[in-house]
Formats: sequence, C-alpha cells, structure tokens
Amino acid sequence: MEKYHLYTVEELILDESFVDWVIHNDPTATIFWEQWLTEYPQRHPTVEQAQQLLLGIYNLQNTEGVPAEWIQADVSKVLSKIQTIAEDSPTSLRISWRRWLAVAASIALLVTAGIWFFNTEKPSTAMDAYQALVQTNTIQLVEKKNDLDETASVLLPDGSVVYLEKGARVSYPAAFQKDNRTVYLVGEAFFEVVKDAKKPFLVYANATVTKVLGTSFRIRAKDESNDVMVSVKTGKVMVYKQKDFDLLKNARNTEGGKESKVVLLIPNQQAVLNKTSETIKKTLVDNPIALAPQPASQVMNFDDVPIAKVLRSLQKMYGIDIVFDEETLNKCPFTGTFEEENLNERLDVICHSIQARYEIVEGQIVFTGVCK
Amino acid sequence: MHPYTENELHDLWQRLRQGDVQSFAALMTSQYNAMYKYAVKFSPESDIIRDGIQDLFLDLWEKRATLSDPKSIKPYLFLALRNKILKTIVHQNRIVSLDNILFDFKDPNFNIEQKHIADQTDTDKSRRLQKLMTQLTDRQREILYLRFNQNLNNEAIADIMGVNKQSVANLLHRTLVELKEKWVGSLTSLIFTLFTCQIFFLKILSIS
Repeated sequence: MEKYHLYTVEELILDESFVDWVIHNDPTATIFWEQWLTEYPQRHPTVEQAQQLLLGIYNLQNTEGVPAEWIQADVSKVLSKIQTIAEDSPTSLRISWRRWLAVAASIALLVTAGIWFFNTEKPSTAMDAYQALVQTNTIQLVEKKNDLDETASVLLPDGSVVYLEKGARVSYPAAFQKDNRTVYLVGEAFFEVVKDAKKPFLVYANATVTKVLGTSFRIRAKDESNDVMVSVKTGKVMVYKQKDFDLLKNARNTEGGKESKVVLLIPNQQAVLNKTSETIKKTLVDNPIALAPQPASQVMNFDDVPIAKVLRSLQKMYGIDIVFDEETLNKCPFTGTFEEENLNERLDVICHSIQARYEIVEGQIVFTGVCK
Repeated sequence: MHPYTENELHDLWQRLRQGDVQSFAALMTSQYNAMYKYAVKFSPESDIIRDGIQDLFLDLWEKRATLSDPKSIKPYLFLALRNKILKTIVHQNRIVSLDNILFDFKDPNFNIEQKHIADQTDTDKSRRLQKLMTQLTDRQREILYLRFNQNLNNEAIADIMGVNKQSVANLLHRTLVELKEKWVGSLTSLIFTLFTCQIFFLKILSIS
C-alpha cells in the first residue's frame, strides 16, 4: 500500500498490521510487509528502527504467564464457594432457625419482600460439577460414556480399570501427569487402581475427592442424587470434600491439625457424603458381593493352556481389547491360578512366565513377546 | 484453552448472566492469565493478585442477574481488577491518592530477553531503552503495556484508565516520539555533533 512509504517510525509502530507482523508473526501480515520491503528497499532503515523500538518496548514489559495449576486451583476454589452459596440457600420452606438468624441482617429486606422463599437457585448437580471441572481443565481429556445396559470397562493409561455402570461417564488425560493420576466421574463406577505410591490416584465426583495409591473401590455419584457414596473392596481409601481437598492442596504450610478433614476407609467400609447437610458418614457396606464387578467370580485356573487362549479369557473377563500375535503366542503354555489379582497383576505374571512385555495404547493392551 | 473471539466472549457473558456455571468457569479460566499479568504490574505479591481475581469473579457471579452488557469484556474485567487491586494496595500502604500508584514494570521475574538478540550491540541498545523506559511516567508505561502487550485499542485503554480516548491517542503518540528521539536520536545526534565540530574547526582554520 502506498501510504506506508511516507510513514515515520512512530506511525509504523501505531499501525495494526505492522504490529501483527513484528510482534505476533501473523502470516498474512508477514507476507505483506516482506513484499512491501522488496518494493521500497529505501525504507529499510526506518522499518528496522521501528521494528527494534517496538520489540524493545514489548519485551521489556512482557511477563510470563502463571502455571496452569494456579488457574485450575483458583477456578476450583471459586466454584466450590459458589456451591456453598447455593447450598446455603434453602430450596424449601424448611429453614433451620439458627442459620436464618445468622444471615438475617443481610437478607432482612429480601425476607420482607418475600423473595427469600422463591429460591431460583438450582443447586448444582453431579453433572454440573463434572462438566465444570472437565470443561475448564487445561489438559486435554478423553471421555468415555457407558450408553449400554451392562457395565462397561475402560482401561486407563496406567493400567487401572474403571467399570462404568449404565449412564456413567469418566474423563481422564490421555497420559497421566507427573505427580498424580486424576480422573473425573459422574454416575456409578467400580475402580481397580494399579499401585503407584509416587502418583496418587484421585477421583473427582460431585464435590468429593477420593484418593488412593492402589486399591479397588466403588463410587456412586449419580446426577439424580444429592449424595455421593464411596465403598472399599481392597486397600485404603481417603475421601475428602472437594473444597477441603483444594485447601489442602494449596496449603502453604502443612498443618497436622488438618487431618480431621479426611475420611479414611478400609475394606468393607463405606462413606456417604450428603450435599445438603455437608457431612460425610462412615458405615460398613451392606453387601460385600455388590462391590465386585461383573462377572462375580474372578478365579481363573490354567493348566498348560496356550498363552493366546489365556489372553482371550482375560479379554472376555475384563471387556478390554488385548492385541497380540496369535502365531507366536499360541505355542507357549501357561500354568497358573488367579484369584484376587487385578488385571495388571495378572498380566505381569503372564509376562514373567514368557519373555513378554505389554503396553497400554489408547485403551487397549498391546502384547509383544515370544515364547521362552 | 483456545483464545476466545469477541463474539464467543459475549456469548459466555450472556450465559453467565443467566446463571450458567460452565460459562462462568470458562470465562474465568480463559481470562485469568492476561488479568494476572496486568495486575502484577501494580503489585508483585502473587497472593494479593490471586485473591483479587477470585474475589472479582465471585462478585461477578453473585451479581450476575444485575450485570450490564459491556461493549468489550476484556477491558471491563481489566478495569474492575485495576480498581480492586489498587484499593487493596492503598488499604495496605495507606497511600492517599490513587494517582500515585506505581505502574512499575520492574517486576521480580524481569530479564532482558529480546526476540532477535544477536550480539553485544543489541544488549547495549536494549539496556539503553530500558533506562529510557524507567524515565517515563507510570501512565506512559501503562498505556504502552495495554496497547502492545495486551493488544487493546485506544477506546478500551481510555475506559480502563479513566481518561478520554483523545488523551490516550495523544499521550501514546508523544511517548513513542520521545522514545524514538532519545533512543535512535542519541546515535544520530552524536554524528551530527562531530560533523558540526568538524565544520567549526575548519572555519577556524580558514579564518586564521
């Protein structure tokens, strides 16, 4: 364009297209300006001065952004506070008088106007909580939804297995982060978590956070329900209210007194969080059999069975695809019994008996190896 | 998180006014970084900034039913945050006038890392520019920052800083001219001085 050939340094810096080129490296602008310079080479000194001055001004005041964890933590904090506000406003006329008196000062006018009793606040549901966390997550997440009538299994990147009940959804990163394994749940699911002491496994479900190192447990956080239930089959499980967990995570100094904010569960115990009363109650499970995922029996007995057949049995039992070379693995025989071991442990035993390895790739198990 | 367009931000804003938690969360997450980087110019204490941003969004949520429909979302948030942070600082330091608040661009993480830094001459040049920037007023630095580091137009800058659009345009232009003359000019004025000295010297020789 012709106007630019008379431009001074400051006029160039004030031009939007020039800034797009110099600071943002915009492709369209770059093409234009590089072309323009070949047509007006005598303007090169002025352009160069403008470039340098603009870049200098930009760089000297440019600061780094904040770590993604800060953003996620602070957004979660605000969301938790919003939930608290929603819970504090009653959805019915049954108000505890003590609580009413406590806020009477600030709502006196509203009570007089009768607005207090028409609460338009929709208490946030399990699905709201799930969506809020999943959509604001700064890492890319994979979501698996169970639309079938039966329980469906999902293989997580670390080898843990989630058995989703009908209608349940789980979201997780394609690869877990360095210091934790975080997943998000709405609905009901049974978890078999691979042990990793260095990377705690965290399940966020409707304002609760369940933390384990390697165990099996069930969580029920259904959208229609106001309660969240966690029951333990094996190992130890810690259950927190999400806002308590967020406070602990961001605590600048670890205070011993904060331990009372967590509920610790051992096998055959369960915890129920009631969102209305905001309490977590600990009891024993009613029916230990209800904890086991389908199928009911996990005992497997193999006597000189070709590995290929063993893998196919595992595939059938867990509902997870196992990819392997039929030819090479059909010849190896395997003898052994599995009772309480989880999927990972069974695969390890198999690999050990023949010289094999397995990898988890996009929700499938890929087996490589030859017979010893 | 992909950066939202103006229209997408307006959509989020409308849904926030109607009480949509997800849109609210998306708005806070997407604007957080820019807001933080701006606010930290007023106070290097990250806790104050983080608290300020959280309080601001909490306020927005609580008042969502009565929120206005601003022309542009980002400047609206920046103005609210600026006021909030300055109030906190004033409260802490008991400074009397808000106009005295430093827009100090020497934040703790500062380092001179030019995009096209090549050699020692470049380092010298940028150090000279840094010195010149220190000599600007706080308002001048803030205008430069909002324009070039946050990509805001004069109208938005005027709204945030509480001045009129023409003042912004004038001050911006004056500042750039001033920087240009002092930065680039220092080289040429040196040459000019030598040149005139030479002429003067020759004149003296020819007279005598």
